[in-house]
Amino acid sequence: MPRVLLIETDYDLASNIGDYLRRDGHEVVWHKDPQAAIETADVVHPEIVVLDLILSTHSGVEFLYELRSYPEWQKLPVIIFSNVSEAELAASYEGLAHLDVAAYHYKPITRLDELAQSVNLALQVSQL
Amino acid sequence: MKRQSDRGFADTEQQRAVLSALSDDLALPLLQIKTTLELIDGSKLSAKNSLRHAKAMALSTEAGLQLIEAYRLALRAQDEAALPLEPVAVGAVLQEVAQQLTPYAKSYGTTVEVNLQGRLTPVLANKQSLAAAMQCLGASLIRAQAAQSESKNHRLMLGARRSADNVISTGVFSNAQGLSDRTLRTARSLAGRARQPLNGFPAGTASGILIADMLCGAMWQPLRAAAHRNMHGLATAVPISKQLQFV
Repeated sequence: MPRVLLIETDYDLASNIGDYLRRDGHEVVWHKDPQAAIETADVVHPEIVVLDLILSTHSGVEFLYELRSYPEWQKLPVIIFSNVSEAELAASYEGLAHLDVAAYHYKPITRLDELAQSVNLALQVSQL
Repeated sequence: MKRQSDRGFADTEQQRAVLSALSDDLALPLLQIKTTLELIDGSKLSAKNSLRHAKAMALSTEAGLQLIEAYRLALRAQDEAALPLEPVAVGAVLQEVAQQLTPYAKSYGTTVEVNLQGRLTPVLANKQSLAAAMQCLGASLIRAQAAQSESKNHRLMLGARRSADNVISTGVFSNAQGLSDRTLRTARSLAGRARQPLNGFPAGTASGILIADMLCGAMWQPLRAAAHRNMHGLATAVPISKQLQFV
């Protein structure tokens, strides 16, 4: 059962996302705090990360930079599921192309089944 | 002379900025409802789970509507003539707000307490504005501290005390990190321009604080960082009415 590391600050959203992905056949480990998520990743070895960008202690982009700084996690698939649109993010940063993001989903217009499909696709690609 | 960011929200541009922050934060309850409906769509739920999801959606709906109502009240409050003043028992208002917040707080693993210190004589205020300010500030701090900590148990305190110089200060206190006069000033200037006007506070929290700030600023003083019984938060101060001391 593929293990998903979910980083999301809101309990209700995390609960719904987690329940949906579990029903889709994944094991889900949830953290609100990106620092705790990094420490957990060392222990549970997730196969994929689903990440919000607006977090509390550090931003999702900071988390991604840290994640990619570790050789063992440079190829770990990451899916962004955020309330910040890609266009808005591009206005602040140079985009996330250099951080190897598998897919970018904007929360207001992405259904949970679409997120689950994206997770499955990213996992398949990572196993090629 | 006070800086603009110390005076709270008084002008149209800043009202628009708070509206922008509000529209960002209203996405949270709507996303909660949306994802709940997507989760239950097509699945066979037990009566117990159906009820649990329905209650969660009801709380999200109420949270969003309360934020909108508080903002509308804040806009009306900018026009002083429109707001009737009356003798208000601050302690009683805090008790009512605590009762209203409790179901929402429980969904975030938070217990709500009221702590009153000193003799709290009635003050001249707009009761609806005070209640709305404490309610949306409380809801924001509930979400903020729950998002900042991996702990499953949190506390929220609605506090009031009378100082030696006969001022009653009242506010909301929690273990949310990152609230200071400086971060609040920065938030006032960043509202509408940044997705996270309050550094360290997650999405869905800033506008409640800024709206409470508007409401308090219209009545007495904008919010200031404060502490109460070893908890930190934001409070406003209201002078005691000399006439009401004898009521």
